[in-house]
Amino acid sequence: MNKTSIFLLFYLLFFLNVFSQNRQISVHKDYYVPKTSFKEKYKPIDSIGYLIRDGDTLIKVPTLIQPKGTPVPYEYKDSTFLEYYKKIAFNPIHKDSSDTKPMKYWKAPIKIYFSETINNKVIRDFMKFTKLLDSKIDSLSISRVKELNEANYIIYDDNSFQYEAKLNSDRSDYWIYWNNKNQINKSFIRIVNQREFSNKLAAEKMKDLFFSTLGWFRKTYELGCDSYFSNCYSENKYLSEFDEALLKYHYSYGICKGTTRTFFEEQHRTSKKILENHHTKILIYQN
Amino acid sequence: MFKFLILFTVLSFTISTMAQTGVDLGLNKKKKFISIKSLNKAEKERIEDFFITDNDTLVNLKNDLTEAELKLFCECYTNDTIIKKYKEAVFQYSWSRNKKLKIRQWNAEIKVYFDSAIPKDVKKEFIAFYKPLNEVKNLKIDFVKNKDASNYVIKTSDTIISQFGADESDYKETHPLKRISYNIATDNTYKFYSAITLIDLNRLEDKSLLLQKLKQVFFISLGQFVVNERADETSLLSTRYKNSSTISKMDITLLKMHYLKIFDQAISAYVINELVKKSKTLCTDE
Repeated sequence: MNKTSIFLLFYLLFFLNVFSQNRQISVHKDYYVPKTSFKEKYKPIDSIGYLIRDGDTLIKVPTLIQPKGTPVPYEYKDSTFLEYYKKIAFNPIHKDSSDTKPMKYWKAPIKIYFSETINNKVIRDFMKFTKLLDSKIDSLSISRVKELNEANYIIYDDNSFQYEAKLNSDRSDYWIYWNNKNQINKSFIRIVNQREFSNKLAAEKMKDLFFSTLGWFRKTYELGCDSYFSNCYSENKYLSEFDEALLKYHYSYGICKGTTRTFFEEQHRTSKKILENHHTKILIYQN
Repeated sequence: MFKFLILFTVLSFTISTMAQTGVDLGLNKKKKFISIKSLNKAEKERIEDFFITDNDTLVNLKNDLTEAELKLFCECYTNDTIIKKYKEAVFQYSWSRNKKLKIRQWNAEIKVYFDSAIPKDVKKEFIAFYKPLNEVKNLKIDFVKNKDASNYVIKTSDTIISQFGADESDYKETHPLKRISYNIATDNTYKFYSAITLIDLNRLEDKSLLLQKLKQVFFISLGQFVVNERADETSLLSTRYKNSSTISKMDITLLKMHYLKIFDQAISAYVINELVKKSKTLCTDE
């Protein structure tokens, strides 16, 4: 859970005293929190009762200690959509593993530096694409910088200085780094001119690789080649309605960030159960 | 009135060949989710699956054959001669049942750029020769003047090209792959998206072979086809190819069969055999 917390707020008892003359309403609230949240946020003395609901123990507390950060309502999604999201956003630990590595995302604004060897037409075409992404996804900020030391994203080719030693194959590729919160904080794209020998091919490859670096995404066999999440080439790739919806969801504050697939599934199972059974509000706190 | 009748006939033909048949070969499984708002009435009938987003419904349509595709499928897959030649072209042997060898297709419009070292008359004849390929559906070839708009470059090599190793001297200069090579970029699904052809013009003793070699290697690169001496002399895949100013009907048929559809699943010799079996039931009324 770390600094990201789901907070379940239960309004269990409502005492309404309606006065016929002045229509004044008095509301009584009792607060119950899950055991895990109680252990994290409260002292044993704060426990003033409990109840068991759907097999889970909820502890009654006198006041509500809200987690740090801004509360955002949990974002409900269609289960078909979530299946695609899980396949794309979570990389397996190894092929037989039941869980995955945590999903990655950009928290800081992306500042791109291009090596001098990258053609200006390619840069213009590419930046048009990043501008579109920037405008569609609220939490993404993408811009170009002219100074190397201002950048956290470097795009270069095999004719320029080689900025990232790990990129050394005969194929164009990317490399990303992240911090302990699974936030991507540095990225590189290396274009191999022998393979991407024209501006058209270089720009296409650059966009395709850049898209993958927005979340360490796994390209899938299941989607048509026009999608940026598909594993096959298309000269007609575009930010489809599906691509946009999935990328928006990845950057939505209505889900917990930096989690593994198992945690993600558990969060959705719990949240959907609560939404089905109770008239309640689920808040996600992001720090 | 006469003009109206012609227009009506053309429209009717177009609509009928575009019409869906409900026949799905099961070789296109990738889903393309698009907004339901963008569909017309006929397309709404073809929704296969869907999911709901915040303010839209995204749908995936069935990938069944059109009437024109089914007609072509039946013409090719019920004809033993075509199947034999096609399997030889793609898998080398007509009896191949190998599951590992996969067919390869271009999944992009081919934009060919000729390096300035290629003589203009050769370039002109090459373009004229390949013009009839416009009738092959799903294969688009264009010739561009700017290298930066291309994904297929034909140029001369400044290094020695050797395809045959120690056996080099055993092959005559007329062999389609002597003094010339091609390199194609492939994605994860056996689809081509760029290529470079290099010809060693300096060491080509008989310069009149240049056009013939470029034509043959270009054809080979349209599906990573196999050259062999059993092929008819009229075929670009023959080691005994007799240079002609027009492309043979059989070569066009092979391409039509190869580009019947851009398949997103891997197609092996085994799958081709399965399609032949399928044609026996699908094409009975043809």
